[in-house]
Amino acid sequence: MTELMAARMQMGSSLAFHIIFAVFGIGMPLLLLIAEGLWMRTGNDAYRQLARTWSKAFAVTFAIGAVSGTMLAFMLGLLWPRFMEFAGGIIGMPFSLEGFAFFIEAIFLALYLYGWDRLSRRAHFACVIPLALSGFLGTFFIISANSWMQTPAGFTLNEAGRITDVDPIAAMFNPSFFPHYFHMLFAALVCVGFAVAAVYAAGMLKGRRDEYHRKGLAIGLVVAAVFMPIQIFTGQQMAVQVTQNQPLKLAAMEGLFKTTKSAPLTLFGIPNVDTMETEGGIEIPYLLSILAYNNPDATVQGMEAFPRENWPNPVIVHLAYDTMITLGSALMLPGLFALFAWRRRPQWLQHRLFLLGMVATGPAAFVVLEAGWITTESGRQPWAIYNILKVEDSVTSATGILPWFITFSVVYVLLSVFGVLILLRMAERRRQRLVAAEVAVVSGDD
Amino acid sequence: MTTEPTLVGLAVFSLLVGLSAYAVFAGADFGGGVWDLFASGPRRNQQRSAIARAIGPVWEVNHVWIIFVVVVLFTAFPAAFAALSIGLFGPLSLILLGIVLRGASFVFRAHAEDQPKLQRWFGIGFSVSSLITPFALGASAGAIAEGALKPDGLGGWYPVAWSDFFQPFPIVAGCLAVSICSFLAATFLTVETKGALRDDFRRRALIAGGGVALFGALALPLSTRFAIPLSHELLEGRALPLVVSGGVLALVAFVVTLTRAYAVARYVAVAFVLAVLWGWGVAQWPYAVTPYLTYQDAASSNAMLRVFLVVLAAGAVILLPALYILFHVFKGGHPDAGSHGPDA
Repeated sequence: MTELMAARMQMGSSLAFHIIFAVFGIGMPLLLLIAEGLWMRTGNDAYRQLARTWSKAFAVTFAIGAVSGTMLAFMLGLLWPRFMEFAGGIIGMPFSLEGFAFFIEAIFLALYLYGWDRLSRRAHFACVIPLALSGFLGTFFIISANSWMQTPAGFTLNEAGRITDVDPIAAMFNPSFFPHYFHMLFAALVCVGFAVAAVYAAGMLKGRRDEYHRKGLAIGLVVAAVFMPIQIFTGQQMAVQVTQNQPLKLAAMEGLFKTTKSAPLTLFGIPNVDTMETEGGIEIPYLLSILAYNNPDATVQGMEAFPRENWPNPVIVHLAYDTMITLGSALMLPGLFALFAWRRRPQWLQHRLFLLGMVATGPAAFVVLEAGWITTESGRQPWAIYNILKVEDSVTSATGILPWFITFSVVYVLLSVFGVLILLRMAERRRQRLVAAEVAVVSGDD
Repeated sequence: MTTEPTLVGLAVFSLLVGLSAYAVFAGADFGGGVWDLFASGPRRNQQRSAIARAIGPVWEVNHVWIIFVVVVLFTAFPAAFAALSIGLFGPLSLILLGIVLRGASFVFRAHAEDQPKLQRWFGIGFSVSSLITPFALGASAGAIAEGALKPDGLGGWYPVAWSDFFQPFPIVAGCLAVSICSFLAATFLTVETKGALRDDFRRRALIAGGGVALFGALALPLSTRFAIPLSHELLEGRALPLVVSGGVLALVAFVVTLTRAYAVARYVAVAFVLAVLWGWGVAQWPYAVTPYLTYQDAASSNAMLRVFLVVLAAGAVILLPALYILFHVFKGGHPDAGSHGPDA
């Protein structure tokens, strides 16, 4: 394996791992806000229990997110020093701002977690607000740096290839920033909503149909269902943005080799770079032209219009994209179904099939998340900074990356296994406490 | 186009402020891990839980300072960040591994109360990585001071060989870093404990203080042989006042710990660490990578640094009150400070 390949695999696996925990860091505060807010309003203890349980689980996911995020900050330099040397002086600022956002999030999380018994109710609740805001802001800054890699701005290259006229603000608010930001932000909220709903649906399937589980499922599902339609809209904005800024990426996403008027949307199928055809896909007439240009007669550029050495791998990009849009669209269903059932057939919300479906949405949402991330980042290849600096020119000259890649992969596996184990034990302990409390009440020795 | 020296100076100042905060706060957390590893005697379990209580609410915030340092470095001095990343690829990867294992094991251990066996393993992960990480950080700083990180003449850098870290000066620098962390931790813990447990940590503060004195005394003469530019500034140049005050402060810290003036000892220990760190920072100036790359040559553009420094100042205005609240609630002599775990 080449050093470049090892570096790409280490970066890719680290990001794929981190994004899961980062998403909880963005979404969990909102759920805590809702649960604790409802408790303060209604006094219903089930809400307080939910907030308390979530805060403990969040402590674990947040810590893993913090350490894996630190790894990424270092790895940007360790694996891609040429990229950082180039980009640091242009887009480093949002990273620093993210540092501040992360500080605020860590501070208020500590106050929140350890403050249940030390702060007044109001002060404790007040901690969730900066917690949630700093999560949203952190996303804002990280996605700013990430979108800059897709649509670099805020500098000029002189004839000698040196950077001049740096404008950090223009770099931050680069052309694809807002679509990327909102698409990521709502993805996080949807993922966390479904993940939480899935956990309580699983509990209900095991017969734990108490108020605590029903309310846990409801909060998760409502959050996911509210943001899911908005997410489809931001996805559409992303398609428009990619068409304008990265037409080659769009062509790879759609598996479109030849420039086509009234282009159909091809679902699935395997793009074959030798025959320049996407084989075995399902074509939906005109849809791509409509999606990209809002016009069924529009001409969409195929990959053939661009030099071959700049092509991303269309197999990965196309399949990841298809996974995102099909499975992602399917995630509209639970919300629509629940809305209907809530009005007309409330008993359906307790039905086994519905609960099974809800359990599936948790992992499905994260598959969509990873697929979306793979689409946007693999679609950026072979560039680290789009049309400016290639990935192969960014890699470190240090050798021996492979053993570290293996080491860190083992660490990620261990963190995942133990993380899940600890969260499961946490839930188990809560149940044991409840049973013990009931026994105490029944036998009268409170 | 050269960057304005004032802006460069202010950026280096921010970098050192971040490093100081990391050294004092996270350094003490690492030191706590070291004392977890060396917990001994009849109260070994109480020692461990006192350490866990002290670190619990604050370690993540303290840890963020290293992220702050990294982002300031790559925003203000991208060329230096690239050089360090290439040259110190191995040790930085090791440090990273230590940071991850330390944080994750600590949290896992805190939440694995009903699985003693697993909990012991997490404890080992936590304490061993708390020892290795500061050692590797200190050794890396030592290797840079020796001039082990060299340019390849093609605009890049040679990776520093592992054997360059296993030299007298980097090893002593690594040991000094570990002693300083342990000293800080033990001193802080005397303030947060009572009775016999407090005496345990007092003894540990004195032992670590001895280690600091030993490795400090070894580092200075070794630097005259292996890190000549650094030693010149340390012993005869502009860093001399800081070195002298560092020595005096170390002595004072030792004496006040001996006389059980714990509240004072805490602040003297912090002042001592700051003297060491700024002494090193001032001695290494103007080099980011001694003696090949100056901060000036590694700096970003004027436009970037100007906006960046304004952003840092604005960020500090938000950050400092938040930090104050955190430490006020968890370290500010609350009647039962440190007596609650998360959601106990």
